[in-house]
Amino acid sequence: MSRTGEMYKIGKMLCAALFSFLIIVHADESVKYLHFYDAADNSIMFYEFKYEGDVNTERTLYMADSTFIKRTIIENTAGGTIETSYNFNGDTLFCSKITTDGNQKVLNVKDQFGVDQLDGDVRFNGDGNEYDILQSGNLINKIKYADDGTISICSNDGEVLYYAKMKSNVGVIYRYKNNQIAPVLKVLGNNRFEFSFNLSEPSTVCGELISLSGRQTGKIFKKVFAAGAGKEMINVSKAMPAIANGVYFLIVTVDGKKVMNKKILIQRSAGGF
Amino acid sequence: MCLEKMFTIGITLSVIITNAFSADVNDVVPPNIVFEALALNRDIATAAKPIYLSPTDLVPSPDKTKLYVAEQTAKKVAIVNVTTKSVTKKIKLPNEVTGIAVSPDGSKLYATCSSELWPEGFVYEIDESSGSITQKIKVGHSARAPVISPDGKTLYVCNQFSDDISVVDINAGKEIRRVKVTREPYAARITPDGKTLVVANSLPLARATDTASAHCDISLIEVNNDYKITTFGLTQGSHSVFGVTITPDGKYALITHLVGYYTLQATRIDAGWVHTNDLAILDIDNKKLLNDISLDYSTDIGCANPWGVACTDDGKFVCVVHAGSNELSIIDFTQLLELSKGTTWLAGKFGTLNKTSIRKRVTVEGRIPRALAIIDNKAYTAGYFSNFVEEFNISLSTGKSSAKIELGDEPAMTMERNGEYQFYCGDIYHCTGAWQSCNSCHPHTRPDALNWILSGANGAQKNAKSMLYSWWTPRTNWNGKRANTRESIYFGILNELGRQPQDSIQLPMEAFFMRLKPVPSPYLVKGKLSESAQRGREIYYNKAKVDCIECHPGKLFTNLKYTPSICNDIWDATAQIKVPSLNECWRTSPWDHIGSSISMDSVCINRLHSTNAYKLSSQELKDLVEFVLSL
Repeated sequence: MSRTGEMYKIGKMLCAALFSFLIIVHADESVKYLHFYDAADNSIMFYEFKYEGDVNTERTLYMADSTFIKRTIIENTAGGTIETSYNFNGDTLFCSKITTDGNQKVLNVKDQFGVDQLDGDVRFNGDGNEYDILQSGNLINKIKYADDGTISICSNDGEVLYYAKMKSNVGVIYRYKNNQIAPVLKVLGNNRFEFSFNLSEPSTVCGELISLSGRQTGKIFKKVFAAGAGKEMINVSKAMPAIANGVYFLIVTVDGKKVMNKKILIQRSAGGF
Repeated sequence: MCLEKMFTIGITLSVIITNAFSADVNDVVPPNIVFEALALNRDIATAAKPIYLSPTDLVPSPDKTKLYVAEQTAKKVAIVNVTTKSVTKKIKLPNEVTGIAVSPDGSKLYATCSSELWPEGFVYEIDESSGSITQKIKVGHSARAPVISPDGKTLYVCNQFSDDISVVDINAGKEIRRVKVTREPYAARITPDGKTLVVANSLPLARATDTASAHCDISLIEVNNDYKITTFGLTQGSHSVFGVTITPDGKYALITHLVGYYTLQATRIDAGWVHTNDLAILDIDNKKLLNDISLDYSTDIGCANPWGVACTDDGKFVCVVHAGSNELSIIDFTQLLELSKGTTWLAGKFGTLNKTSIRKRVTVEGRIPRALAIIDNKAYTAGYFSNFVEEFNISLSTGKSSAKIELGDEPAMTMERNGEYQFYCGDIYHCTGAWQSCNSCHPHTRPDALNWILSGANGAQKNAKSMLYSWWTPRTNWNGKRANTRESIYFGILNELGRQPQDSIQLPMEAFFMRLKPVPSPYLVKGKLSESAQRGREIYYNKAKVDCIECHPGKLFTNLKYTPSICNDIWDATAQIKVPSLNECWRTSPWDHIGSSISMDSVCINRLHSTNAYKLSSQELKDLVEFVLSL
């Protein structure tokens, strides 16, 4: 092979690998609801999330009895995230701006008239698992992300005041120690993937590959799993030895409901499949 | 070989970076959205909205050892041991607590919950000993004032903005009936025999121009007779009916309210020229309004904004808290009843209660007391803007509180909270003679449904206005007489309260008005437009069909311009009226600048108002009205 041809092939592979990475790091689409409870386990309200592709573009807030409160449209801009909330008539209620200042996220909320609803910026200072909520330099609350998927809102001395639970279409979503949430696809290399998930009840989980043109390439697995945490090792080389190199969609369904739609790179090794 | 290595590096890089950054929950559920939801729902405190207690209801336990305190904005019920004078437990609830009832055996509490943000009402049944919620029962819009039947089987709840009463079967854990009452039921009590529910409707439902009808109703509901209702009109001009109790013998209902003397030009405040503060006595058995007594002390001194009312078990005393003048009235009920049975109508007769042998006025420390409870010979009050319960000996010689029971820490008032306090306060520092507060004409910052002739108005009556969005829709007043809210507050304090305006009062009040938000309409279904309202919305915005958005465009539904009056105003035929916002118009009947319309249908098709709405079919009109009343 000529040097130019080799370089072209290397470049193509790197691009594909990078493309695969970029797709996978997108926010997980499976967080459908976020339910809020007080410390006495009383349900208060919940968010419903909507996505365009893998990107969360909208969420709607309902009270516990499903009374609509507001719909929020999320817009990522160069200056930060702008979240505009609307009432039942489509009239603006609030406009939130989320920016980054060093390691801190900064939240500012104004109503439709521009009146600051929090009386000053609120800052979130943390490492991904625990955040201090600060306003005017004062610690007002803490937020903790636990491994079981619970987000706790605590007083300064650690007392849990409220907590929130994420749910997907298939039940409660748990969070893993590596900050991932199920269902999660791990790339293991050599066309091997690990699909991990959590089920609220026994369900049939099915994985299949779809080509970029939308053609179904074939099923990789279809099994009934018990409730709770589950894991499936996917070896595309073994399951579909004739598959061509390229980028595919891995579609995973639980009892027929789509819970994952990820682009993955399938690459023949030097020794062939 | 080189190619393979590069590929392996690429994939490895992908895996490493993926594992480091992939799909973190914080990307989808970042801390700011968790915080924002709770902060804007006032569940967690911010600089703008600290968590205040706002005690709004006090209920004694049947064994008389405890008091249950509804801490409205803290969303808690506090249990107070009256012997040790300490809080023994606090029970957290999902929404603001507006009222409490206790089962006859004391084992269960029933708390009504609703708020301006989440007005859908629920009753929470709470196990008294454990503090855990055992039932959650859906009731109506802005539920409050729960009343339990003497047999403990039925709960009645006032749905303030549904204009009805929920009848709840406690064993079944569900609402079994709604009973329609007049308007904005705010307080209720049941007779000891469990047969009659007395409901206080807090606002008039009438054309403000129909002076004979401009009064509030009391609804007597015979609960064992298919909920048959007998309605009594209180004194002409009555409104803000916020308290009711029944004497232990079940013969009389005692009702606190205001009387607005709206036919007089508001050029002075003393001698009840604008408002008197009254206690009506209703003979329940004979279904007769026995009398209506001015609680005001003399022609010079009023007792603003009577609210909670309660009787001693022996029926000897009745106590009233005055949320405006920050006082407690302890009244010898035997003498009061005798006076009431006389031939003189005592509304507006000052001095009836100024003898020390009949009534004792005691200053309460807790600001804006609305809640009142009596256990034996002790009266307990709690100021809405305070964090303690005060105990008073019930005696005509009582001079001050005998004890103070702390409920918990209270953050310092924000400018907005301070403004809210100033708005409700009608003591001598806020109003000459303590006759009234801002809340007297604008209950809860909304209209009292009456027409008023303000000083300098040259006899032209105008319907009281809502303060909602007043800050954002200058000029203010119906005819734009004032430049803005600040000026309106200034002249309101000067002319209607008789005080020289101070920045310390008017600036916080301005901040309070600036932040007022509308209450979601009871016409909404689960917070959204009904199907009819959705059709109405299409009509509303269809310029080819109706001309609504010419004058009521945008988010505030007003073009802020002036337009000829839509009704015949005999006092001011040339009136140019500032187009009002439609936000919360479901709450501000009667409509137009002199309150001459009580039907939104008639407002819409009025040809002085709209040039083409009259052409709508009856269904289209119904849909349009449904939309407008949903705003």
